[in-house]
Parts: sequence; C-alpha cells; structure tokens
Amino acid sequence: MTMTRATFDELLRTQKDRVYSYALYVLRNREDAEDVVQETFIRAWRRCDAQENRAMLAFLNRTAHNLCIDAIRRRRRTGLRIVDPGAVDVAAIPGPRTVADDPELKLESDDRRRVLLDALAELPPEDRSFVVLHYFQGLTFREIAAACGGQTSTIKVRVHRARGKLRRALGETPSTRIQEG
Amino acid sequence: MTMPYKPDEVYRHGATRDAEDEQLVGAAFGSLPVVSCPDEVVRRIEQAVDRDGDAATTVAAAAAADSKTVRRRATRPRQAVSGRLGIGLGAGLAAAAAAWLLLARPTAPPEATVARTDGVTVVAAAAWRDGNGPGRATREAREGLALATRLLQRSEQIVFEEALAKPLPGAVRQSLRRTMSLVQGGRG
Repeated sequence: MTMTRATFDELLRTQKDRVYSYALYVLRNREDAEDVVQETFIRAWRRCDAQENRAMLAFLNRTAHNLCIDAIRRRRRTGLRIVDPGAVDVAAIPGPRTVADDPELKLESDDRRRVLLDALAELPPEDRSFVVLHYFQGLTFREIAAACGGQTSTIKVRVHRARGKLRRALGETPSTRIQEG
Repeated sequence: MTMPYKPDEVYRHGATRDAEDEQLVGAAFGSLPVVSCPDEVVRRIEQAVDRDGDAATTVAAAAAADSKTVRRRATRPRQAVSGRLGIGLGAGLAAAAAAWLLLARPTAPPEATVARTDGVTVVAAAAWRDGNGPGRATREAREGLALATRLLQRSEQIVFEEALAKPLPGAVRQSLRRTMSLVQGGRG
C-alpha cells in the first residue's frame, strides 16, 4: 500500500528543497538535479509503502543517491564532463527570494564555498554523495549505510578520506605537524 | 626528563586532529545554503501524481467490472505412448504401400492408351502383361472374349429362361449380340 496523497504532499513540501540541494551539490548541474528530484518523488509516490517518516526519508535518500550515481555514470559514458569548473551551475541556480539567502550571491562572495564545491566535485561519485549526506544532510554513517547500502565502517572510512581531501583543498594548514621545541 | 613535544600540543594528536578537520569541513558545509526547488519541478511532480491517481482509479474500476471468474480451458490429455506408436506405424505402412504401388505399377500397354475403353482393351492389357506382342495380345483377347460372350450368352439365356420360365426379352438378347459383335472386332 502506497502512501496517501496527503502524506505525499506533506513529504514533498518538507523535503523537496533538501533533496534538490543534495542533488545540486552532488551533480553541480541544475537540469540533472531537477530530473533527480522529479524522479525521486514520483518513485516515492508509486513505490514507497513506508508508513513512518524515518522510512520515507530513507527511501528518498536512497532513491536520490542512486539516481545521482546513475546520472554521473551516464554522463561519463557519453563523454561529458560532470563538472565544468569554468561554468559552475551552482552559481547560476535560482536562489531564494531574499538576497541574504541567494546562493549565487553567497557563492560569489564566499570563496571558501566555491573551493569546497570544486573539491567536492573532484571526489568519486559515491564518496561525494556520502559526504553531502553526512555533512550537509546531517545523516549518520549508519543512516547512510541503510539508505545507500554497504557497511557502516566502509562508509565511515570513505567519508574520512574524503574529508581529508576537502580539508587540504580548503587551504588550511594541516594541524598534525608537531612543532618540536 | 625531556618531553618529545610541548605539552600544549598533545591535544593536536589523533582524535583531536580529526575533530578539527571535522569541525572545519562541517563548518564549510554548514555555510552552503539550502536551495529552493524550482516551482516548475514541483508542478511537474504534482501533475505526474495526479495522472497516476486518475489512471489508478480507471484501472481499479475496470478491474472491478472485469472481475468475473474466468474458466480455464482444460488442457488436452497427453496421448499415450502406444497411441503415438500406432499412429506412427500406420503412417509408415501407408507410406510403404504408396511406394510399392508406384514402383510396381505395370507399364501401360500401347493399346491401353488409345481410346478404347471396352472389354477388348482390358483383356488386351492382360494379354500384354503376359509377354505377348500388341497384335497377338489383341487377337487373343478378342477370341477369348468372344468365347466367353458366347458362353455367357448361352448360359445366361438358359439361366434367365429357367428363372423366368419364359424366353429372354428381345432387348436382352439384342444387348448380348451387340456385346459379342464388339468383342469380335466390330465397332471399336
């Protein structure tokens, strides 16, 4: 039994921005992100028989993750670059109504964010998705493993390695150096 | 005792370093805004869901209207092995008989091909099969048929007269004479 229309409407209202942001940061392509959001929610309506909110969110995360990975692989097969550093789609996304929340203005005004997104784009697709799910969506490793499949320890290691790459890209001096006195 | 590093740097080892990286990366991600999903995408999703709802209603109504029990046709019983063997054997025999008839069919005599369908042709064909030439076969056939006809005429006349207790009708006698004249080389 699938969800009722009222449940779906509520799910769409509360989660559409979160899923769209996730897809946008993973794919860095507005059109692909829109397709992922659309397909994710349509699949949820047709196939998701979960009754609890947590299970519904897990379904959304799993579906969006799989669709993003498919989109990246599809672009690889067609020979297209996933991300064009000279034309960052994230900078062109239509932002919220207020200027303070406009991601375009924020991206232009904050180099750190741009560096972060560029470094994120260099990660392997699955690692990119795991990192966004963990740091942006706030999912635990266990929740990511449940949503995307795999072992919790494996995902933890991959996120840890990806975090090191992001950390270096952000330009901070590694704090591991021990200054011997 | 000399310490290998300053005491205030101890916390920078291991988990503390990870915690710093975690904090830094987390803060960077925390600065990323939540981007609003375009209204056009939401509208497309709702339209697709609406279409699904209409389709589901139509399908459910059609299923309810067509919910009568459908009786399945009984499958034909499998034929026994003996039956299949019998059919095969019969087909084989028929094929063998047809082949034998084709191969053993006698060559048609020359006179059988001409337009004579009376008894002479038939008997001549029999004489031909006995190894005689065409002329002798035909002559023997005519002589044999003439004798037979006379015998038949006589015997049949006697039989009929005895059976009917009166002479044969003229039509019967005329028919017999015509047959005899044909056999003896009359109209061919």
